[in-house]
Amino acid sequence: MEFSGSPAKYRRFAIISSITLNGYLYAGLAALQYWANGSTWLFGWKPVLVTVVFTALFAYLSYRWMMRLDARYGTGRGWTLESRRLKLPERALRR
Amino acid sequence: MLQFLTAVVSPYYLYIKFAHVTAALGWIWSAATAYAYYLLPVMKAWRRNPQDPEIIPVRNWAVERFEEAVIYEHVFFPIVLVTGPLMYLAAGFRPGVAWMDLKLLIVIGLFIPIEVMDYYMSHFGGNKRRIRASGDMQRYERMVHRHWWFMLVTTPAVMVYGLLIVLLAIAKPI
Repeated sequence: MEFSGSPAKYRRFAIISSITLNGYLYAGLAALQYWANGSTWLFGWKPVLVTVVFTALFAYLSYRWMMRLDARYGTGRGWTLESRRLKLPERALRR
Repeated sequence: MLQFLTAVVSPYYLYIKFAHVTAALGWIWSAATAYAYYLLPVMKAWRRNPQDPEIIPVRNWAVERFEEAVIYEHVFFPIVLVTGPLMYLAAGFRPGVAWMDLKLLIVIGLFIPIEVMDYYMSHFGGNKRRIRASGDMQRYERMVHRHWWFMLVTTPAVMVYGLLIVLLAIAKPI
């Protein structure tokens, strides 16, 4: 069975999740601040700009991070694979 | 009712805070070494050499061990969830404090769903050791893949927003 991850899927996931998560946090915080204090400072252009920039940055970093975790970047030269005969300790299953 | 609860718990604020901070740090960091230095090298070796049959048993062993390594994390998390609202009550917080609102939004909207999924993957229906014992190796392979998907897509958010929660709690920047 082949693992279904691919760069295109990671990119799509990074973009969609970053927009969803940061949109939710911005909207939630703005709504709570308005509801509890009548405060409108989050509706100004600066908080919106910070949210948009952070969303883009987080999407980019998430994509790079996933690619690195999934060994899509780097050659793995820091590691060698050594074949050994070994016994692995396994915990007995309690029923 | 809220005033009564606040009066009951407020004398113990610092003790609740001690439990909360200890549990929060344990929750965030307890699995970090196992993840970075034991699980990841094996998973990356598997991803670079997916057809190598000698890697598969080590990958499976590492995943199963990691599912036990997250037990501390999953004991600490409910403590965080209980002591957090107690602190909220004890300190007399109300909605409208921006750093606290943002922290709660992150915990409720991001971390609780992630942890629910993680509990399932590691200890309940997705537990690999039990699936292996059942003999259904197709489901085992499928669940290892699903678990790896889960770790891939949640790691960036967990690291960034986990640290952001600590920053919000300590520095209270907004």
